[in-house]
Amino acid sequence: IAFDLESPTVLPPVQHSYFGTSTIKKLLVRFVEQYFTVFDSGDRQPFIEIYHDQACFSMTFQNASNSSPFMRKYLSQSRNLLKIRDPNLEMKLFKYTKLSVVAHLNEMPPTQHDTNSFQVDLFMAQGNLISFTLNGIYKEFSSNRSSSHLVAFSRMFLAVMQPPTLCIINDHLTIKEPTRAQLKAAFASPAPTPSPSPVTVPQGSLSP
Amino acid sequence: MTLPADVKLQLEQAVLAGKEFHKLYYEKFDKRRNLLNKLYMDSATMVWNGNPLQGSEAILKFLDQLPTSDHTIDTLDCQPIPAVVTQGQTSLMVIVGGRVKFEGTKETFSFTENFMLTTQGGVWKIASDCFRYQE
Repeated sequence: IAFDLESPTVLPPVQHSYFGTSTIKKLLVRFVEQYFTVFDSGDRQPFIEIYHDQACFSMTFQNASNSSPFMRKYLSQSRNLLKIRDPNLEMKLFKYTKLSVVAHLNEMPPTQHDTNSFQVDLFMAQGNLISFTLNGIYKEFSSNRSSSHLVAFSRMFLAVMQPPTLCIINDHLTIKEPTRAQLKAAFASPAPTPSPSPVTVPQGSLSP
Repeated sequence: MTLPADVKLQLEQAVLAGKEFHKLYYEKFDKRRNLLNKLYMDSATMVWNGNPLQGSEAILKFLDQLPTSDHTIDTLDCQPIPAVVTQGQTSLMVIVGGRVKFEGTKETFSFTENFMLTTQGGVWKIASDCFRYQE
């Protein structure tokens, strides 16, 4: 006869996404599609319409032994509070107000997100306030678009629901080197052929 | 750009809280997981790798059934949530990047975990929590 001290060794299965209610899912799916269409368009200025006056943004780079020099260039922009010793830098890497956030997003390199890689988790919904994360892969291009690098990311938003859109308050980006599985699966599905139904994006967002 | 004094103060408060919180949280998680219940609000919500959990009781029951863990934290960032959207309730976001190894599993998972903390009765409590592996 033994003692019942055996500890569990089985992990619960990973689920793809969690959207909460169907109403929120509809809003989020639409928002995510539009947001990254603008983000990848080359002109992120239209975001001025959807960020809150007191919006904030910061990013961290999760460095690892396998990180490439390409990724390591982000060490200087990473607001990693475990590493930063200079309080002024800590403040400087925190982008505050709509203008400052949108200007910063606009200065980030050109990207193409693999929307098929997205996993969305709605982890807070209180009244019209929601918070959710997006995990996936994007391609970062050099400024003349001659080369690109795959980046794994986790993005977190806190936003006010204003159907049919959202007003973003907190925005955080974590980036890291993709895993082998992510590299293999990235952009595996063919890019969607231009559909006859127009995609509604904020005006001017698709201009070069 | 210089931050307004009140925002600067909120930011400093958020940084202090986040630094203390992440140490407490992962230490308890790895060594004395049953004590985590003191950190969650009764009404807290969590999504663990896409699995939704409602209420601190359900969260603790779920976490308790995970194998013994060993977390290594690589990155930490905090953002205050502007009071204008929380009806004046002091709240903040804590964003953690790290690696976790569970007993009985060969793989070490890279993960990000996001917490929304809010003050209740003069102490910080977890209102929401989102955990996801990098796969």
